[in-house]
Amino acid sequence: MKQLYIFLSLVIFSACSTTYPPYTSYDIKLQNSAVANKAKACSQETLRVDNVSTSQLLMSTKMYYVSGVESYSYSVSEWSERPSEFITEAFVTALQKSNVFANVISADSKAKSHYLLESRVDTFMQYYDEAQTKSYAKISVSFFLIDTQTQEIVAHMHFEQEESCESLDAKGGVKALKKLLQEAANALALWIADEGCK
Amino acid sequence: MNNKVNYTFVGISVLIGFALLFAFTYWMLKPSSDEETQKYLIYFDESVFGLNLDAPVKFRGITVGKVVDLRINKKNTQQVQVTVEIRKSTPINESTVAKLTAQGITGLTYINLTQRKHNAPPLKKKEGEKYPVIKSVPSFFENFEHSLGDMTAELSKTLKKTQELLDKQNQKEMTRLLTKSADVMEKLDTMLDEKTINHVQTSAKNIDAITYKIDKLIPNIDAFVDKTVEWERGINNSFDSIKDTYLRMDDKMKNMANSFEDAKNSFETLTRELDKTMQESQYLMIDFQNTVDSLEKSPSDILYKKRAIHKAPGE
Repeated sequence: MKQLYIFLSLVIFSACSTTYPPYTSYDIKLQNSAVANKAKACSQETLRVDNVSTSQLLMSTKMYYVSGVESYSYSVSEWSERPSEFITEAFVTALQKSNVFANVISADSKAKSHYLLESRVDTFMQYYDEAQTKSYAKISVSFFLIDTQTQEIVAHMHFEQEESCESLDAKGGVKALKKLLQEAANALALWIADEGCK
Repeated sequence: MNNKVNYTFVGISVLIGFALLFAFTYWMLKPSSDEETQKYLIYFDESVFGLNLDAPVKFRGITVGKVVDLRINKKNTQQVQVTVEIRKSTPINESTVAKLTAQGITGLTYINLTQRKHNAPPLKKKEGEKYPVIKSVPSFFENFEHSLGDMTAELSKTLKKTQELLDKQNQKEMTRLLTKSADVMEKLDTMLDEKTINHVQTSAKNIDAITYKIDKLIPNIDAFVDKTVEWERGINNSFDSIKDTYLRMDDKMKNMANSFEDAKNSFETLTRELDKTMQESQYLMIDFQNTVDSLEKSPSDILYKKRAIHKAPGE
């Protein structure tokens, strides 16, 4: 019996000797955002930015890509933060810097707001062709501006763009996705300056 | 008879007598210093009928001088130049005016002086005039004549207007109006026949009866009014009570509204917290699902990493 315990312990501890390749974590933090030309157009209003609605793939830190029609995840690359979270953060930061609304608050704020911005991210992914000789990133996001008093949609916008990757790897995909997210945030700031408080 | 007459004595006595007579006459006629006079000129634009030489000149009813000369003014033949002699003690100044005044019913006229301002400067002789000139004002008769002339003109105008008013056309209209009035009076007379008068009298009697009944009713009305007042007070009390109840209900409703608002806010806060928790739970479930999927595909991965790793591009 004693020998059986020793055997099982050796088997379990031998599993700890299994080695894994080193992981690389990628993070997307936007640097600049567009300054709206209608600064403080909604100088009395508060805007709440809701968490973006995404597919389950973008709620994980696993970094997925599509090759042809198949979907895979990188084995040694991952997001340091869930895409759904850093995309939301990018939009909130861009709207705060645009100076259109008096206050821009996140979804978990206890304050009341005059408007609500809902976002739905349909695509935020790196694509390869079947031969894996070319790669590009794609973003597709829809924005809805809602009046919280009437619960009606005041305005909406759809943004979709593609960007070629510099390199055929995860790093190239991250760079392209970062650029696309920057473009989407800028477009959001300019659109909200035109459509907000009409 | 010895008639011895001293002719020298007689001659001297006669001369002395004449001398005394002249002295007495001079004494009598010599003007005293108070009675020294000053001559003035007065120009009248009206007739000086009744004014004679030596006619008195009066100041406030006192004779202060007399008229010494009357003639037509050579420079203006429409005027009469009257020279008067007035005592120097008379206060004649630039505001003094002369007016011809009738002296009773005798037809005689005298000059009446009036001083309008007592502090005006003394009247002095002007260049080209022999004596100082006192201004003249129209007499009562002159004013009366002017007024009479104006009144006559106005009367003439009034008569003309009356004549215009009573022209033939207006006379016809007046005649027609009078005819119509006569017709109306005739109809009124027809309406007020015996029967109508009786009817009116009956109506008056009825009104009298109604008034009597109303008089009898008034105490009842008073009682009714009193009861109405009491009823009104009761109603007022009821309304006050209802109002108080309503106000209390209003307060309760406001409190309830506030409570609902608080509850709503709390619920919204709770909902947000719940959303956040659900989001975290969803992330956890997704991670757990990924792990389960991985183990399902390669159960040995729980101890040993047996499943081959699919190399991604660039790895």
